[in-house]
Amino acid sequence: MRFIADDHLPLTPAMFQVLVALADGEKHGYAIIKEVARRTDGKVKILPGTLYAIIKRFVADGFILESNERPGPDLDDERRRYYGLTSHGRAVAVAEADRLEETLLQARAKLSLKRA
Amino acid sequence: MHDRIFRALLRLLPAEFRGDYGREIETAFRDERREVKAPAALLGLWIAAIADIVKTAPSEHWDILKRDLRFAFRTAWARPAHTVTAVLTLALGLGASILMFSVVDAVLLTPLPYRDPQQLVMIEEGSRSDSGPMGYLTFADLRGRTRTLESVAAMSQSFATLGGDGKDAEQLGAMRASSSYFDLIGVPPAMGRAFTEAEDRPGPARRVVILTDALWRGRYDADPAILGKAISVGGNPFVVVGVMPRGFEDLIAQRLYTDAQLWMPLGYDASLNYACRTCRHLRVVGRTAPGVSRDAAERELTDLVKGLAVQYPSQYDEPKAKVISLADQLLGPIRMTLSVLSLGVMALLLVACGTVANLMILRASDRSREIAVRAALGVSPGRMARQLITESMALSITSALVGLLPAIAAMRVLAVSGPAQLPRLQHIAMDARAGVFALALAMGSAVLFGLAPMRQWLTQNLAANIHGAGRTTGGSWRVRAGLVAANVAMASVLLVGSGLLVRSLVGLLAVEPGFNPSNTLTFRVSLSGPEYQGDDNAKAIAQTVGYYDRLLTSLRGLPGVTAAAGVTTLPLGGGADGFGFHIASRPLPNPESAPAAERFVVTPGYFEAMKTPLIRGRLLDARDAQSAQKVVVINEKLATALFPKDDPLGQDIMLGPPDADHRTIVGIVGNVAHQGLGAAPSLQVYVPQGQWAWAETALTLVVRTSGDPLALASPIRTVLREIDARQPMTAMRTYDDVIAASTGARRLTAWLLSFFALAALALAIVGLYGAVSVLVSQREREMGVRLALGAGSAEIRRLVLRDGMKPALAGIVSGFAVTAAVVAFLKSLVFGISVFDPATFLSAFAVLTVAALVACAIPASRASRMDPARTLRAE
Repeated sequence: MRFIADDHLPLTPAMFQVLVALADGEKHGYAIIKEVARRTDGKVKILPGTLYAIIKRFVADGFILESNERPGPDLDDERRRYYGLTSHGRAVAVAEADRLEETLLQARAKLSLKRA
Repeated sequence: MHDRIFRALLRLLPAEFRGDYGREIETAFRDERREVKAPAALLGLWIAAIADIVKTAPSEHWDILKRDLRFAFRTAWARPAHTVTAVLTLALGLGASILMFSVVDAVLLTPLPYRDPQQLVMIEEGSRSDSGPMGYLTFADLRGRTRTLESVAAMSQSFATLGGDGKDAEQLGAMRASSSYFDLIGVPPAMGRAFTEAEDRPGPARRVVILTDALWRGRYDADPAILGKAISVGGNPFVVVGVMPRGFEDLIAQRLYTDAQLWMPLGYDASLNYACRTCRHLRVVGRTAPGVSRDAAERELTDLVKGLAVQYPSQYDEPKAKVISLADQLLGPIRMTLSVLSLGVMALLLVACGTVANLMILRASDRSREIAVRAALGVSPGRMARQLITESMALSITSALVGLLPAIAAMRVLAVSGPAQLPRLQHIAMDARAGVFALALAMGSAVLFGLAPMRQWLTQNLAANIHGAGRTTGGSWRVRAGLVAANVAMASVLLVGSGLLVRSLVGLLAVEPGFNPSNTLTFRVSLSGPEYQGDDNAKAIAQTVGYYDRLLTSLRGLPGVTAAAGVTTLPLGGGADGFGFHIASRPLPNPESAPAAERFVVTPGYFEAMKTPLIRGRLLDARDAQSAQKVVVINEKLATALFPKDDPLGQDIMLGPPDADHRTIVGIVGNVAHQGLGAAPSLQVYVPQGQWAWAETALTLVVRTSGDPLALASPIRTVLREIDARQPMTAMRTYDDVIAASTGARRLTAWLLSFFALAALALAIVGLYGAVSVLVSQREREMGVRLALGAGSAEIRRLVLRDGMKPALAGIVSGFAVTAAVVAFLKSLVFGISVFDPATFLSAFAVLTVAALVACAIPASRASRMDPARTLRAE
């Protein structure tokens, strides 16, 4: 069956942020939380319960994968599991970004039209 | 410390999710905590973490539930026969239970429609032998002296003939009550006011009336200006002073006073001759003072009447007061009936649960491979248990929904045409309370029938099952046999219980009532108009006798009528008039110790019309007129009880006070069942209509015909109109209907319980058949070997029969033991037989044993015909 990313849209802001956080490489849960907070200047704050509910769903949907590769032993923490984006996950993130962009453009166009 | 609290918080999450991610969530939270230093920030983190988990948990649980439900429906769909059987079985038990709950809820559990109803009591005046209504002077004295009662009111029965407004005259039940009545029950009229004390005295001021909302809307077209208007009641103008609230149902008026639609002031004082101490005809309702118990009130009132007896020794005979809660008085009689039915329904539901449990166990063995695979994949027993619970709940709730449909239909039927003995039936409905009950019951049932299969599921031999070689163990047969035995036991309890009630009903209906009710029509006429109620008593009696004489002559002239007569209270029609019975030749030191006899005022030809047999002497006839010598006829019971040695014929007696008119006994007739077919015969005295102390204007007419009695309805109406169009006729029924109504609650109990019993029997026996069939198929190989080794088919049959009959007999025996322990409970509903009636027990035993034998014989015979070679090859 062909995968259609648009079928999985829209994502909640937290879901989107999780996918984006994993775009540049595998991370464990707490690193995702930190990454999102850093990137959004603390405006988006994902809490552990919410995060792992999202991870569970993304793993089931095949958007992310638990990684078998561990970082070097000096960096590794045995308790942590690392998650990486799959191609499906990346496609969904891109599709969501496009959707948001289009929404934004439409809104801007309409609002500026009104102002004029 | 922090970790422990957080771990406890995580328990809100489903175990499956916690198992997968719990440790990581914990680690992430710990990392965050480490970075926070300030106490305020730490507090904020904790609040956020709690909110996060509390928000996440429900959606995760819902997620699992959705998955489990999808799975449950898929598996249910895959085995439609099994699913439909389970749903229908459970729907039967749940539907019957929901129906029963609605009935009990509407009839018994809904509070009485009064303010603080638990404080309301009925007060009876008791004597050495019994207790009942009270004389007015006793009531007045108690009212003045009691400290335990906040308020009391006396009440009496009345009838009101409404007319004079251009519409058809109509007779309705009415109730007379003290002016304190409405304040006492705590329900004031919605329009207008309650009665004043000034209206509660003899005289014209008492001609005021309060109407029910229904009467105001119906007969008086909701006239907004009705207050202050006079309406015609019995030919006299009565001023309407109040209309009760819409929907207010005065259960006292309905249950104690023939569905009264109007209230009038009692209007008594000491000057009235029927207000004497021994004129005990008033019912008394009271409200206990706050914090006063019923017992305390009873003690105080008993002391007070004992004091009155010292003051007036000839007016009381060892008096006492009896204080009964109003709820017991109004609902007590049917509480027993409903309790028995509720227990019956519960037993049926248990049988249904047992049957479904058995089905689920069978399916659990069918699914053993699936379970084994899931266990091997690491699904925890807890997770599998959750899946099973969801399946059971889904099955149970679906069944409850299926059962609701017939239950709601039955509620509608009962609300419209339930037996009159059950008050407030019109309110039964599928409401929120019934909904909550249904849901709770469905969930409780799911636990009940889900437990055994769960045990089965979780203890199977996984390693063997995964290879498909798993065999159901002996343990499984033991569980199933136990369930079968429990079901058979329940069915035996129900079968014996319903058998006793049906036999009682049959016995009751076969009772000779002392008259012949067939081909007889009855109706009531209550004369109103000044000529029948004037101050001149003798003239009123003459006018009344004259009216009924003309009416009966015309009725006897109708084609098909073979006899017609009238009586004040119709046997089995409810109500009775008790009077002290004094024998002139045996004056009593305390006349109050005289026995009470039921007094019937009758027209000439009454015994002929009723076909009540004459034992000795003569019957009453036209000779016994107003001016003739006063005579009475007594019943056999009275003759033997009060005249055991001497001949009652020719003896003089007095009815009521000892100084009442002397009346000579001229005849003895057979006993008549008056208060109920099963009631012991009472002392009965018949007085000719013209010779009673006052005009008995209300009579029930009995018309015997040679054909269909109902065919006379229209000619009788014509006759009544011709004689006096102002006089309405009410309650026209065949005598068979009167008797059916008097046994209505008993019939309902007997038939419903029989239905439960037969349903339980069918489920139990089909369950036995199913269990034995499965046992046979599971033991095919063993039987094949036995046959191959030379065992005869008779031996195989015996083997199966023995295995199947063991649980059946164990069930029957334990069921009978339970029945014997609880059957005394049915005592008040059983008539004419012992609760240990051997015929009932033996028949139930025979039915159960034969049914069980048939259920086992079919699979036994199949087993004995199997081909050993084929069976063994299949292995």
